Parts: sequence; C-alpha cells; structure tokens
Amino acid sequence: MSEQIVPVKTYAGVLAALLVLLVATVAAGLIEGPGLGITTALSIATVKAVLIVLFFMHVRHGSPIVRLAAVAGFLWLALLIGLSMTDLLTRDGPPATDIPAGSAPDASLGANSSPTGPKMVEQLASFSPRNEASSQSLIATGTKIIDAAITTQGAADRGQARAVR
Amino acid sequence: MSSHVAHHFDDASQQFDAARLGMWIFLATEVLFFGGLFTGYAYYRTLYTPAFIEGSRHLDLVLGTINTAVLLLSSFTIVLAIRGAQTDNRRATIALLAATIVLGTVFLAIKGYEYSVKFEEHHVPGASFSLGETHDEAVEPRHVEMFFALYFGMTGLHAVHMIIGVGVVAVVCVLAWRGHYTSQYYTPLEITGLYWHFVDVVWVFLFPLLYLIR
Amino acid sequence: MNNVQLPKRHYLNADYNVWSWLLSTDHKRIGILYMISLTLFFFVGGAAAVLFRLELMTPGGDLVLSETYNKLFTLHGVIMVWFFLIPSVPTVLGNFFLPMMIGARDLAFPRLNLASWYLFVGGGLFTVWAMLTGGVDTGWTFYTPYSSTYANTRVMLTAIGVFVSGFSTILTGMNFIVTIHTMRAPGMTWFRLPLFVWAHYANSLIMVLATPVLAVTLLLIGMERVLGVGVFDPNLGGDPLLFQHLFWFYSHPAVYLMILPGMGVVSEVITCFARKGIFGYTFIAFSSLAIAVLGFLVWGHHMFVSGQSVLASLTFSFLSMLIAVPSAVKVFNWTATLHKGSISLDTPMLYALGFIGLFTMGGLTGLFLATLAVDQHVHDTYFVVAHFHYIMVGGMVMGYLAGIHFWWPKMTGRLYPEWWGRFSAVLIFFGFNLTFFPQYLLGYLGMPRRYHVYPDEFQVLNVMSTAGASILGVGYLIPLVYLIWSLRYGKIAGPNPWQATGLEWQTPSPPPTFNFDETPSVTERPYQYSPWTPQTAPPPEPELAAAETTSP
Ligand SMILES: [Cu+2]
Repeated sequence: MSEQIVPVKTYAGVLAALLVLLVATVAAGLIEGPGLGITTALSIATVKAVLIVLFFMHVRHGSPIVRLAAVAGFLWLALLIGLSMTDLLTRDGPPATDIPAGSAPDASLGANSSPTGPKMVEQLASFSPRNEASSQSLIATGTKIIDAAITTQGAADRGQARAVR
Repeated sequence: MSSHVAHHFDDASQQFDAARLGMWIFLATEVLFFGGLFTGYAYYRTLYTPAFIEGSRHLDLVLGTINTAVLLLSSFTIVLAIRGAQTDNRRATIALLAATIVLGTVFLAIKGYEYSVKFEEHHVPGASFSLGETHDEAVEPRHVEMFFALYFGMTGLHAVHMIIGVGVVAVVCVLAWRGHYTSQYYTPLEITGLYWHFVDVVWVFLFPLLYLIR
Repeated sequence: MNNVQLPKRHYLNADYNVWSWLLSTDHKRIGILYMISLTLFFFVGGAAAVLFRLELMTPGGDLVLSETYNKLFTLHGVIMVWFFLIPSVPTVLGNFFLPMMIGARDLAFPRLNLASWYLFVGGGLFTVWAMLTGGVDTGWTFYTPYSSTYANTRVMLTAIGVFVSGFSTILTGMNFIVTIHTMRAPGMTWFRLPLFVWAHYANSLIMVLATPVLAVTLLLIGMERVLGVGVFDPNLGGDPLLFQHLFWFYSHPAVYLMILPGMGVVSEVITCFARKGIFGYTFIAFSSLAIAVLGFLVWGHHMFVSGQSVLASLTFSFLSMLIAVPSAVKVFNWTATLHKGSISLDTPMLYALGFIGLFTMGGLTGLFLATLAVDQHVHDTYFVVAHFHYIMVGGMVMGYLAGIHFWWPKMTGRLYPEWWGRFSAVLIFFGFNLTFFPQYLLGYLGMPRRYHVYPDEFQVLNVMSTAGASILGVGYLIPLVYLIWSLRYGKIAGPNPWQATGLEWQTPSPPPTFNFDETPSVTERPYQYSPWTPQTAPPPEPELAAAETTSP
C-alpha cells in the first residue's frame, strides 16, 4: 500500500490549529450585529473543514480523483443552496410565509397568498400567446372540472395549491 | 497476493484505491443528504432571522463548545490509530481506537443531556412546545419552533451518524485487537477514519450555525 | 459455423439451487435478478395505466371514482419512475455489461451490488404493498401540502419504500464509478471505453449526487407530518416552494437518469448495425458529462407558475435552453454515423432508430416548456404529459428494449425469433405515437392533466390515445412471450452474432462466471466496423488476426 506516513507532529499541529480556531469562532460568534457573525463563522468553519479534509483525511496525498470527489459534494451543495436562495431573495411579492399567526387557513385564500408575485404572472401573461379557442372551451366547461376538483384534493400539482383550497 | 485481496481485484493496492474512492463518493452523497437540511436552514434563517437568534440563545454554548473540542480530539485520536497500523504498532492502534470510542460516547452523552434539558423546557417541537421566557418579545414562537425543528433535525441526524460511527470503530477495534491490520493491510481502518472525520466536519459547520447566532 | 454450441460451463449453469441466485455476488446473475423484478414492476405500473386509460375513454367519470383515479396515476408514476425507468438500463444491462465491457471480472463491490438488489426489491415490494392496499393520491411528485397537510393516504409508507430504494440507486452509482476508475483491463484507456460506459459514468454521477436530496426531502415531509412543525406548510411559517426546490433538485437530474443510459445503448447499437465507426466519439462522450452537470442547473423550470421569482425563472429558463446543446450533439452525431453506413434493420436497430426520432420530438417540445411564456399556457396540461412520455417511454423504454435485444444472445446464449422481434418493434413504435401524439394536441387545446373527467370535445383525441395504449400494451407483451420462448427453443447464438467489436463479445455466450478465461488486453479503439477490428485484436499481422477471430 502506497500511503504516505505523516509525522505525529503534523497531526498535533493540525489539532492545535483546530482548537485555536474553535476559540476564535466562539469569540467572533459573540459579537452582535447582523451579517458579521455568519460570515466569520462560516469562514472559520470552512478553514477548519479544509484542514480536516487535507490532513486527517489524507486528501493532501490523495489521487486527483479522490480530490475531485472530495470537492464535488460541497460544490453541488453550493449549487443547491445558491440557486434556491436566488429565488428566495429576489421574489417581489410578500413572502409565502407572511401569514399572520392564528389566522385560519381560509385567510390564505386567493392570489394574495401567492409568494410570487402575482405581478410576475401578470407580466408573463401579457406576453403569452393564449389560444383563444381553448380558453373559451375551458371556461365553458369549467364548472365540470371545478366540480371534479372539489372531490379531488390530490389532483393538480401546482405549488399554489393553497390557492385551490 | 495476500489473503485479503478479493478474487476480482488484481492486487491489494487496487483494492485499497477502490475502497477509498468508494468511501469518498459515499461521503459526497452524505454531504448532499445533510445538504437538504442546510438548505432549509439557509431559507428560514433568512426569513426569520430574529426568531433564529432567539432560538440560538436558548442553546447551551458552553456544552456546545466542549462537544466541538471533544469531537476534534477524537478525529486526532483516530488518525493516530491509523498511523499506528501504518507503523505496525498494534497496541497504539487499539488504545487510540478505544480512546476514540470513549470520546464519541462522551459527545453523545453531552448531546443527550442537552436534549433532556430541552425536553424539560418544552423546547422540543410538537404539540407541547412552548417558548417560555424570551429575550426578544417581538419574536414569533412558531418561528422559533422551526429553529428547534432544524436544530433537532440536524443534530439528530448527526447523532445517528455518530452512533453508527462508534459502532463501526468498536468493530474495527476488536479486529485490530485480533491482529487483522498491519502496515500491509489497513483498508477498513482508513475507511472508518474517513467516515469519522466527515461526521466531525459536519459538526464543525453545525456548531456555529446553531449555537452562535447573534 | 452452423454447428455452434453453448459452452459447457457458463454463469447460468455454474450452480442451480435457489440460493446460488439469491445470494449470488456475480454481477451477471444480479443483473438477471434485476431484470425479473423490473419486469414485474413494469407490468404492475402498466396495469394502472390500462385502468386510467380506460376511464379516459369517456368524458364522464364512468369507471372509477376521482379518488381511485388519483391513486391510479400516482401508482403508475411512482412505480414507473422509481421501480422501472431509473433502474432499467443501469441495473440490468449496466450491471451485466459494464464490467465485461471494461474487461473486469466483476464490479468493484460485489456484495454491495447484491445488497442494492435487496434494498431495491424490499423498497419496491413495500411501496407496491402500501399503494395497492391503501393507495396514495399525491401524484409521484409528493407535492406539499397534498403529501403533508391534506394527505389521508399512505404517503409515509410509500415515501419510506422510495427512500429505501433510493439507497440502492446510490450504491449502484458508487459501484459503477469506482469500477470504471479502478477495474479497467490493461490497455482500456478512457478514450477506448465504449460510449455505453461513458453514459453510465455520467449517469452514476447523477445517481450519487442527486438521490440523497430526495431522501432528505422525504425525511422533511415526515418531520412536518410527525411534529406538526412548519417545514413546508405556510400556515405554520413554512414555504412550499422549498419543497419544490429540493424535490426538483433531485427530480430534474433524475430525468437524465431516465435517458442517459438509453443514449449509451443507442450509441452501441447504431454503430453495430450501420457497420460504421461512431461519428464524433469524444463529442458524444463529453456530451454525456455535460448533460449530467448541466442537468443540475435547470430544475426551476418546473416552478415557473409556482411563484418563483422572475429572476430565478429567467435564469432557469436560460440554463434549460443550454442543455439542449449536448442533447442535440448526440442526435447529430448518431445521424452522421448512419450517413453512408450499410444499415441493416434488425430488431435492436429498429428500437434505436425509434429512440432517436421520439427522443428528438420529446426534446424539442421540452424547449417549448422551458420558455417562460409558452409554459404559462401549457403548464400542467397533457402537453407536458406527452413531452415526458416521449422522453421516458419513447426514449428510455425504447433504449432498454434495444439493449435487451442487442445483448440477449450474450446473456442467454440464444437468439430470439427475428421476425417477431421486428414486428413488435414496429408495433410498439406505432402504438406509442398513437397514444401520445394526441396528448400533445390535447394539452395544446388546454386539457389539464390529472383529472378523470373532461369536456366532451376532447373525447376523440382521448379515444385515439386509449386505442394506441392498447396496441402499446400488446406490443410489450409479445417480446415477453418470445424472449421466454427463446430461452429453450431459440437458435444458439455463438459468441458474437452481430460481429460487434466490444470486449463483451470476445468471450463465449453465455459468459463464464468470471467473464473472461484470461484478462483481455485492449489494443484498439471501440467501434471499428470497417474493416472489422475487435478491441482485443493483436496489433501485428492483421490478416492472420482477422482469420482467427471470424471463426470462433
Ligand atoms: Cu425538468
């Protein structure tokens, strides 16, 4: 087996660094104020994680593919969080979750509860090439479908389901 | 060819590479498994920052810090245990693996104590949840309840991984005691170590995100 | 040549008792176990489809109640997606042929491979049991609040079944990646790998990186249901869009789990039956990786009307357009491979050609859906249903059948009746189009999906669709019959009935337990059909080599 044997001194040094960083996190975390805490906390945590991955998990001497696998998980997690937050942080309507406490579910009825931005729907609808005939036929027979919908809670798959109820 | 090499491998080093790469890929899936919870955390911390600060203040920072130190130390002991195998020092390997088990158990015990306190304070999400005294009057209790749901979800999943980890370390410790590992063959030790360190890394992020929101 | 015989010892007759199958760590036997279980699941999911297609023959709800209808389409979706389409090509053909194609004796972790089969079958049977005895009415997407606040059905049990089988997917993906990295035979460099292997590599990346997010999403639903905390429920402070982000982060890449392996099969079949080297090998190989990576960046196109922010929608729309590029690269390269080839329309080739045509239609209509304005109109209509069936059934099921027919002689040592093979391939193509083309029209006219009643004017198209589905059903039963028949009565195939070039064809059919009598050493690129050169051809004295290999 072609593993490098790392001296104990190196491992001890890493441990010491990790403990120092732990103290630093706690100290920095106690600083009050928005934004400052989370940035320092996450930066220090990242440094700690990198130390553990490189030294304790032997990625420093690992093959390129092991390094890639080590990075891939975190990269993909960044994609998941990054793109989801892109949505959350740029919504122009009231947040979906802005329902006053204790309000009955009925209070959330209607387009206003949509996190969207009904604005967005309007904007896009004005561009959308609606097929006149089909809209007509849908309206004409809409009652039938709404009847069905009432007995069919699990029918559609929209996120605005709460608008249905 | 040593007796540890399975029939479909050419040699021990191919087997070692395969096992290590397999473990790393598994850890990548674990990152994303925890990742769903981290995404939820990012989402709701953004939406309910004051409630999350409130929830965080109800956690015991001292115990959290001690636990982090315990876990970092256990990563150190297990990496030395592997080094023991690499240098054919069987007694060191066994002793250090035992130390790792002890440290892991201490972590779980402290965590269990923290959970029991939360239980008494009715901070466990569910029907009997009540916030009690607050630092910030304006905060919405159900949003703090969401903080605690994430707290229990994330630390609970982490604790499950710890329990599995302690079990696996115990198994390799017995095998080390029976003399299964030498500098020629210590693949299971290395793989166990990778898993243990990963669980440590998860905690390194959980600690500031849960205990240190101010 | 006429007196070819089956080899004396091979993986099928190595041992006969039941445990030698149920505890086998031989990747070939595990592949067969998967094939049997997948076939069973396929017909359960198909039976549900038969029932709701019958219901949809008339505009009124004449056959089943709306609740039953909802349970039927959920059953169909859950079974087909998780217990047939996603595992189909990888677990059957990938398991069987990936090690053989790279010249390995087995997968890197044979016992994990067996464990994944047990997880798969355990999860699958549990799910089927939960859905048949209680039913689930949320649709396969488990959208909240149907799956949380409003579900009285067996959501949690079904979710547990899917959760368990998810681990089977993860383990399979991990096994494939490690095998491709560490187990290649001497001389099998990355650019000598068959494109089937490249496709499975890309596919495994998705399996490994996407599936855990589905698992944790199901876990969060459980948390919300058990604790009553607002994870996704807006009344408790949660956000249902978080569910959709998490779910589609998994499920859009999962769409590529349901096409990439099929693309791998088509690359193998097209070159073999066009007797021509693949056009643009590196482009096809890297387009698989590009699809795997880009596939993770487009999930928001499922949320254009869900209340996602405009910026996010625009971003996701743009990225969704980008992914058409690698898909088109593949289609163009296959077409270029056919150009001036000497094409023979054997059964696998018919399926592969069907794949290319139907996948192209499915892919192009996907672009309509990725466009914000058009999606407003056709979202949640039958247009979407038709679109993804063109990809999943027209693409993946065709690819699966192409692969099964292509490699059947290798797996069993016998040939199926060619006339019946071609007949059912044509029948399936015809039945498929009759089923799903009318659904594009229905959707464009505005018929929403997931309702069991509809306006009268949609009846003609619905009847056409049901008629097509019946033909499709018969089309699927015919191969089941003649393939089983061929096990006993089929002509002996010999090691290389198609004169293909891959390593798997350079060993007896059926292969011996350890695949090769001695580890092959690879000297050639794949797909050298003119002049025919197998990947193991000894480099010097080409004439002598050809003479040896053509008379096995
Ligand atoms: Cu999609």
